[in-house]
Amino acid sequence: MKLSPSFKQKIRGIVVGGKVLSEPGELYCYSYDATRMSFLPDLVVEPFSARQVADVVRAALEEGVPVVPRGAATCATGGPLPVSGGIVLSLTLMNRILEIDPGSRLAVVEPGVVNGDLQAAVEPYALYFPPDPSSFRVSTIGGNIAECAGGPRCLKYGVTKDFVRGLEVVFPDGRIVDTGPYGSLRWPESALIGLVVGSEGTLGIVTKAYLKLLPIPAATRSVAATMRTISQVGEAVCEIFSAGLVPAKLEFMDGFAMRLVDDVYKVGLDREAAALLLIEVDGDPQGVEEESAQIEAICHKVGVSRLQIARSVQEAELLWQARSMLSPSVSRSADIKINEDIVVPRGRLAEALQLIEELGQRHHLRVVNYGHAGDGNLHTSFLLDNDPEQKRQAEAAVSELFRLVLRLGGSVSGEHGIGLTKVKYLAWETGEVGVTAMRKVRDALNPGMLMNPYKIFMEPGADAIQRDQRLT
Amino acid sequence: MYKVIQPTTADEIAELLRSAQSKGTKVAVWGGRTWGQLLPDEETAPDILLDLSRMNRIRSIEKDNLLARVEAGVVTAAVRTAVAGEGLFYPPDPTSLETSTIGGNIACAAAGPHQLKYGGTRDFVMGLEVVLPSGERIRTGANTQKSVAGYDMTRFLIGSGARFGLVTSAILRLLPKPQYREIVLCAFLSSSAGVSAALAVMKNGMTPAAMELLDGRCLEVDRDAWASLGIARRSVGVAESLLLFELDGVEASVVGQRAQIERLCAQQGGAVVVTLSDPNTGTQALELRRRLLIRLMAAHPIWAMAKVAVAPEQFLAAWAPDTSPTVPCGQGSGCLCCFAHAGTGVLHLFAGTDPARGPEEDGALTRTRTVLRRLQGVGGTLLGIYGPARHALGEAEAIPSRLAEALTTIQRSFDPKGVMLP
Repeated sequence: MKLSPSFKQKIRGIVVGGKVLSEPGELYCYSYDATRMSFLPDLVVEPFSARQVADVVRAALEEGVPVVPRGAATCATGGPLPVSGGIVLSLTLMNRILEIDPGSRLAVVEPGVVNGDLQAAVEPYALYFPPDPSSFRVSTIGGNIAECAGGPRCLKYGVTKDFVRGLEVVFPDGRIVDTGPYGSLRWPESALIGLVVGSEGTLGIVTKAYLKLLPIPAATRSVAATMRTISQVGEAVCEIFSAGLVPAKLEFMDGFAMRLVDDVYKVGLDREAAALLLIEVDGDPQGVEEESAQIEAICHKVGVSRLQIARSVQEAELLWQARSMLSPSVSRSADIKINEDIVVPRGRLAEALQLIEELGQRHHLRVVNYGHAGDGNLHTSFLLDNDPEQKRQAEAAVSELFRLVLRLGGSVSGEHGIGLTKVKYLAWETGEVGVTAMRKVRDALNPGMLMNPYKIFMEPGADAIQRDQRLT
Repeated sequence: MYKVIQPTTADEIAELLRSAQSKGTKVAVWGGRTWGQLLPDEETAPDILLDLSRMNRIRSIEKDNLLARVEAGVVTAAVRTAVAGEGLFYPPDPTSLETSTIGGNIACAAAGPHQLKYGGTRDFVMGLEVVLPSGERIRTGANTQKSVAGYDMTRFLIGSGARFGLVTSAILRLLPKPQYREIVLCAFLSSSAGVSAALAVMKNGMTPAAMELLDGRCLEVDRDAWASLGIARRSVGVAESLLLFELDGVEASVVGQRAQIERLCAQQGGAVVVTLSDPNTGTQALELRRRLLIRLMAAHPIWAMAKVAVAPEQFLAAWAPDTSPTVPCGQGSGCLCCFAHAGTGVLHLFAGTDPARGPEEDGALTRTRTVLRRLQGVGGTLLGIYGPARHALGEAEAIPSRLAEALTTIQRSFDPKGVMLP
């Protein structure tokens, strides 16, 4: 799409104090996300204020130019990709923490604030922001909101939508609504917040977020349980909940993942194991002591082959490093890694793992599973060589995986959103009637689909449009 | 005069709405009629009133998946009791839970004292079955807490009344039942002491399951019942206050929390702490809190209430000297009493008016208006005003026009004939 010089001039006139980039090299830097696909934008704009965001959106609307919001682009489903060109509107310059109110356990932030930087800023007040996606060192709050990011802590505390108390949003027509810090308590602001969180930038651009914080727990305790069979994972999770306990984190990785981590990092994981369960409890010191003792007893009852208990922050870090080493180990072990983010009802986790193993065998693909056992949210990775036959098998395997997940009563996306890569699967989950209802909302707020087009919903002519802009 | 219909299936409702679309019939929905107690019916009279009370089955409780599937007409208390029997816990606890329905809770995004630690209805509904105004049926959400597949239509619908469709059943998120639970009551010699204690608890990094603040005039309406639990007012006319704590977790944690609370409350001189570890007395205390509004309404037939969200540190603005009446509440004269979800900053100002006086001269309404202005001056937001005399308290804050337009557009696309009354 060619943008007229006068339009570009208009945009430059709006974004005073921000940045407007148009050199090819610069454009390339904003063309990609974690999917490694890339599409070339026609202009990159980094505004400084909500007013500028609104004015750019309005100017683009008048000209019929798409606007694609972007944070740190750690998205795994193509959300920030400018598939039909237009403007990439990066929020990274709007990275101020506007207010921290410890008495109200509230932080007010601009969307470009990095999740990890927010954590660091509120720590001196003995507060933290619970959503902890694995990208937290890089991903922005705006991006976390757009995708309703999760993370291990969400088992006990919830996901991003549970921590948004209010939003300031620029609508696709350029008008701004600010719900204030009590928006989530009042209708209709709560309905707007409910829609915008997880809307992947298709209903509005967040320019300010009022976030709920929690007190940093006084104590934590971590337990690592090595298991000889996959069914023990399900048993342990079930027993822990039956006992009336809700750990802060309940993460697992399968035996294949453990061997991959051990290959690369040599941390002494049991290479014969079927799974590793990592459990963290938090709260007041007496409660943590008691809960941890109960969990240890449950693990022994279920029959773990090895139990490690961390009693200090340093020991916990050592235990949990297997989890953080996981992604790089997996990436290193194959030419291509296709990572899918799925959820099944937690009672069906063991069944899901069994069926996924069989699926991998049927397609002659290596599969590794890890994720959030406590809420049934799995990251299933197919590992391929750079081989056309394997790629074909993987494509078929992914479709089968989603069908399997839906049969078990699950969802095709736990944390990563639909974006570009899963548009085909949305209707599998919601049915056409459900998609139609969502489209009505999109068409009411984003008529003409100029804000982040071709995301979430299948559109006629999508493939052809994308071919023009696609680089990789 | 409208016709009341009591459907038993979602298909019946679908058929009804399809027919309503073609004829332009106006449809309203009632659940437990609890909301109706707070809002007199000023809407355009409906042609049909759908009463969902016969759709009250708990379809399943899935312990392994920590969820329950329930029809919209089931009473919330029934859900709580049923899941407790399985060792599970449905945290949302609107004070109307003995009579309100899950469908009504969803329509109003109802929440109660547990919003401090757990949240409200919005946080524990994972999915819905909905009949759209067109008569089409959709499912929203998922069987799992985590799901980002398209828009969160569930959260969009929660709190939206019946504007975009009618909820016929819900998938509720459950938690394991905490091992131990305790109620702790702390009585203070002044309202400011109660507020200070609540602030201290929050500052100490504690998050009780519930922390409810009641002023002395609230205690008046159930004086004998509170006294039987060990809370007696020292003397009438002195502004006293009560903090009701609900603590849960493993026993060691609850004991530790209780000790901390005792310590913090003791810092407010003259405070009396009563621990109710017996489940029966604990339940009695919770019931007293729940029936507070009903009792206030019974004592004051002409009343108004404002619900305000404000930073907890600003609560003291509600209890300045000019809010203390010289005549106790419950005796037919003007009275202003305040009660709050202390940790989340949601404050209720209840004005019981003197029927002999008009709204402009009524002392309680005048004082309430003053307090409201003061709270709004320190960043408070009016969440709603209720009651027969509510217009004397002023107008609810206007909805931002862009938002109102967006909702109207969405409403029109779901309900072109406008058959659904909110």
